[in-house]
Amino acid sequence: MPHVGQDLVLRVGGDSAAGGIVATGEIFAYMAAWAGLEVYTTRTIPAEIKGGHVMYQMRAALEPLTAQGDELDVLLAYDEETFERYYKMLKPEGLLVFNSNDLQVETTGHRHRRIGVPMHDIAKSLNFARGYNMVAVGALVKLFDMDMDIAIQSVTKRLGHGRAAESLAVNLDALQKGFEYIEQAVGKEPPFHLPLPKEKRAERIIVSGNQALAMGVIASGCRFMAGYPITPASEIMEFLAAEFPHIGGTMIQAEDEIAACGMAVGGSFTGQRAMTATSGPGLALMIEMISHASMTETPLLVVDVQRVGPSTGMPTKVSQGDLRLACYGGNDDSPRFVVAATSVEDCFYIVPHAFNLTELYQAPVIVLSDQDMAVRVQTVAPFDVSKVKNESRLVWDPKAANGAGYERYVDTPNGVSAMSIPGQAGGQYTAEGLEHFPSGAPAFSAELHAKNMRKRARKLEAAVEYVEKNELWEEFGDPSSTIGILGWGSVIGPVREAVIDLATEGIKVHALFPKVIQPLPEHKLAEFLKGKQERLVTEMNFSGQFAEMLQAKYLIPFTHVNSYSGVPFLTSEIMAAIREAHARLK
Amino acid sequence: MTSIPLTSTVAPLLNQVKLKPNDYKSEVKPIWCPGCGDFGVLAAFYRALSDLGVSPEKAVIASGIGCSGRFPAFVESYGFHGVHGRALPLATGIKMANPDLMVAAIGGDGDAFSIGAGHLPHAARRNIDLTYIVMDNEIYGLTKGQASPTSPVGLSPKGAPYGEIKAAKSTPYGNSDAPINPIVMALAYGATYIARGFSSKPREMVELIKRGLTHKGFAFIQIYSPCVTFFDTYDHFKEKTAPLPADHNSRDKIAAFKMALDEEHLYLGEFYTEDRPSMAENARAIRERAGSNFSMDSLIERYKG
Repeated sequence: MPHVGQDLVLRVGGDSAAGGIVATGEIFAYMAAWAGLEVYTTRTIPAEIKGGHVMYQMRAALEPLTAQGDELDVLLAYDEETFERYYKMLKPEGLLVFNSNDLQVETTGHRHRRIGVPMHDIAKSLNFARGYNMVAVGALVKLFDMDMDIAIQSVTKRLGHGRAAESLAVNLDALQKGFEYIEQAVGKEPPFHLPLPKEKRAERIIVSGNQALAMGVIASGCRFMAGYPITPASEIMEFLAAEFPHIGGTMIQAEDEIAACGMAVGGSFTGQRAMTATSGPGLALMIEMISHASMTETPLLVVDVQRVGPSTGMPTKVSQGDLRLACYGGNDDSPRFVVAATSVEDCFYIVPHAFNLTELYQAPVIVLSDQDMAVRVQTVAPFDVSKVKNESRLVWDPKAANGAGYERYVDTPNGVSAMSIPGQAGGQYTAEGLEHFPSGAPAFSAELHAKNMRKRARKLEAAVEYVEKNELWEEFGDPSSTIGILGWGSVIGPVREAVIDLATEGIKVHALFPKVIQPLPEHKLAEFLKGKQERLVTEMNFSGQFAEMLQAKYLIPFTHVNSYSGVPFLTSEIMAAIREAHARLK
Repeated sequence: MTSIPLTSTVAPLLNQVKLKPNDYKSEVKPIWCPGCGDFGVLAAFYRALSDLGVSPEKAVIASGIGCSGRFPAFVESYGFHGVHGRALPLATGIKMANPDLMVAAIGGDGDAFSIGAGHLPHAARRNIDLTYIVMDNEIYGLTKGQASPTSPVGLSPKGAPYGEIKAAKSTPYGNSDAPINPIVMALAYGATYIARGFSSKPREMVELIKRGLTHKGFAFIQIYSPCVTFFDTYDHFKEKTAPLPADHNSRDKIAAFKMALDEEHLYLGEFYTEDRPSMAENARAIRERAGSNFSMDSLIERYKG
């Protein structure tokens, strides 16, 4: 885990109307990744198409990173707003690179170094006014003493797609001019070195959470997706729209979220693994159909890339506010699984498990991701497809039935009944959203309803076995500690870093992050909670939704550690909460 | 991994079995009121499947909520009784995930034209290869007699411009909302087969349903299906309906609009039909364009430096 001096945090900001901010950040992220570094990025973008402040942050180090980094080593400011917003986050020895055409910098009392680059003048001298961001990238390449070949490769990868050769050429010119400006203005010795690796390192890929998740969908054998555009989930739909045709899959862009969910349910009814992906407001619309899938016992996978609410809230900001909706949304008890991806890498590996849960137990599954994890690109080990084990749903076997009549919803010890697939002779039934007889015919007797409620609920109890057998959680820190920290989803990143950093101060913490929230790994949790005097629950929502679930289940208090501002936790915030808990124990 | 097969012609689904209409009756007995028009539609549907020789296991019927929602359970086939208004998305998912099935969707006027109205244009423009039968009684039946999107202006508990009214509880001062015209809607949305039937005309209905089921693309069939309990319109429809003139050209969209807008007659028959690639055919064309050069390893490889 990196400590001060071992990693580098670069933040770039400007107005989105001017453009090029995310491109600058991404190009630099690719460059660092290709130079052999581990990269972790985060960004905030306005919800408007043009105009508004954009920030892109990249952290790079030799060791794997799990959080975005709290303080800045380098701030690249295209405009005054960026400077005003962030200069106080710069480390005292940090470096400010600014567009000296637009920005006069006065920072009396701050020790950090300042380098002004007349980005617009340089770009205009090339008759390419919009290329000022390439000038900035070129300047950074020189300031960090990086390899220009890698820079050219990175720019070509980011901009080369479908672009005319001349257009790429002027961008590369601007890159070169930025490089030369620093060479002449600053001298031979660059002020910063990236901690570049000395030997060849293990191979890495650089992907976003959404991309990883979509790859997980393909690896899971899913070939049917219906979606409806919504930030920040659309990328999953777009990814599958591009890849599915190669492999005989179908992606339908539906007319709304309800239709998207309905198409996925219809697709699954025919025996296919089927899914949809959305964000909070879309999940709210899908709830009726998800309850119906629970009642009809139809497998269904719904990805919810959470963003800030309530209502349309802040589409481009992160939140974990949909847990309660995911677990309990719907009329009456409608059992479903809730799975939470913990990292960009986990976005790939958790999807096959989520599909297995829905297929094996014939109840819907909601996979929770979040805006920050979904849009952030990060270096991870190339996905190991051999780790993916796809389980099949229990399909009715007419031969074994030996002429006996088929009953779709016949009761069984784990609540799962064999499903007949349209096309199978003798297996005809109607999937029924009304309460029903085992045959599927509508029925409203008190006894039958009570029996069916127990049948459907029993699947959650049975699935605990799958969750525990596959160890679908992450555990770290010191098991002997009396301080326990819990959470779910991407909060694990800053928590992991906080736990490691505090260990160097002598504060021991034990952490557990279940990847399946419904059903919880009960034995694992009971073991974890034993002997814990301080129990913290970290999550990015206002009311402490997971903490309240745990309190209700275990009837003991949990300390809520919440962030609900729309930006990810800082490691320092988690550390502060743990220090408080530590102080209480004394 | 199972990829989704893509055949779009219904021909392989025809003449597979020799079954009588009664063989398509399931063990579930209809819950409809005696005299309900829906019985006629159900009987016509059995007859259509029988005439076409469709294997029960190859047919799937999706529905929403309401009296019409119960329809799939009464047919010896696969069925999906969904949520209110969503028969078309469910049917679309079923057909596109397995184009080798014969798929029908069933709705009522409330289900199809109120809560589910947002799906009709899209099923039509996609030309999804399925048959959508809407049993139109111009009232909400299962919720006991409120105005529907096809109810006439003036409908109130005390009377109606036509038909015997016993409810219309949601419009105690008379319905002031103009009814929509489903045939005009379907024409405007681009449905490629558009017809109207009447549940008291069984033979004609059977022909329309058969044409719909064998049509390549989206078939929309409105069927007047009176509700004897809350709004008995049998006499009205008997009086007002008339077969489309023999010289009506069902390839002429403007003529179809004119016939659908006629206020003197409620025409029955095939208003319009056209040939257009179905959704499954378009999906197949996309696959051919994309090619099948794919491996998980090469996908991951793309994200390396």
